[in-house]
Amino acid sequence: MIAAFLFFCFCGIQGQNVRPKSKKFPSDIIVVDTLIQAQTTKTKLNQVDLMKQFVGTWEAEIGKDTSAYWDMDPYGSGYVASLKYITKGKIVKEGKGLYGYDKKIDKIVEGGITKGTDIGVYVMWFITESKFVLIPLSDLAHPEMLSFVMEGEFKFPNILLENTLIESKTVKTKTWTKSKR
Amino acid sequence: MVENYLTLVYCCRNLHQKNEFWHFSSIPSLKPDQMKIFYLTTKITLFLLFGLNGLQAQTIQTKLDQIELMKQFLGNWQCESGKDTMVFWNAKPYGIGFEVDYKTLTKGNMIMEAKQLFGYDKKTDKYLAVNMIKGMDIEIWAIWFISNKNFELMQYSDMSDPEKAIMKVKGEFKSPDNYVETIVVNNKPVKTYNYILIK
Repeated sequence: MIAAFLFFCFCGIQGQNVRPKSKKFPSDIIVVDTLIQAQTTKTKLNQVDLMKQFVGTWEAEIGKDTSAYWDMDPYGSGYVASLKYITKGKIVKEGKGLYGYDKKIDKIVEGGITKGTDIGVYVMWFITESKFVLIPLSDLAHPEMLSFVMEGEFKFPNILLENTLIESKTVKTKTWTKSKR
Repeated sequence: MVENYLTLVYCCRNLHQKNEFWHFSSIPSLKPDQMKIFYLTTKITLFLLFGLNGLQAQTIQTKLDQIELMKQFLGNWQCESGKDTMVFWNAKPYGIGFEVDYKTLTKGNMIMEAKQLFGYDKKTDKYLAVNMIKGMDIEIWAIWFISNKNFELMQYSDMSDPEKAIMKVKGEFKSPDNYVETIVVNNKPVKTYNYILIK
């Protein structure tokens, strides 16, 4: 399998997914288009450097008696992530992910598996030094058909806020705190 | 089945042209316009009877269990990718997929190492693979079986229109402990790799 991967990598075929989607959320089009434009017109941000803010172990309260732990360990120029939800000392959800930079699109690509569910593939990019946006990779070629948008902000080096929106309405928020676990 | 349907329509048309088609010759009260309508109705009915049933049967026949078939990749594989160069590719189950660590050694020295995650995507009924080689950009690929033993792999961006992919991999499990991959560029095979399961 790897030999084929390497062959592809070195040949560097380019392109983005064009998988059609059925949902259209015009308000989200404006949000993402504006964000893409903002990144293009302002000073180019160093996505690889900004991604380093994620390194470490993060913790968030998800619900009563449930905490999420998210580890981001450097691997090459990217990161290996592991995620665990723990309720009363028991793991109730866990997953793994890989985060890396893709220079063809000047964005960070993330792929992750949560046990028992399908793989998720996303693309994220910083729009300022501390704010980023994440969308499904399949929606990148069709920003007019977004499934959802996640907006993130590093309020401080050890505090990360995440806000998930569907049709411009917040459906989920998380506050991550970097721990020394 | 579709070919059968086409043959049937063709025969009916020929018979009609020779005035031998029983539908028309045996119903003298029908006017030419009515005959046309009758003919079209018959065609549509035949299509629904034979054509759609045929297509449905074809779809059911070719529906493969991608999750089950992908399990053929689990294990520790090795491949001689070049002179004095070996690839070691180790796939371990993780959720509905697997995680992979792999490395390439030349004369015993590691020249490359990487991680991959393979996971099922029900929206496309394919597996997506995240590939991260140390020192290189992240890549996303799509892989799926086209028969119980044959699979295709290509860039995620090409998945929606595989026929237009400039480059793809065509693979085949020759046995449970051996598979081959052929790199195809512009529909021409350019290189083949042979993988052996070592445990």
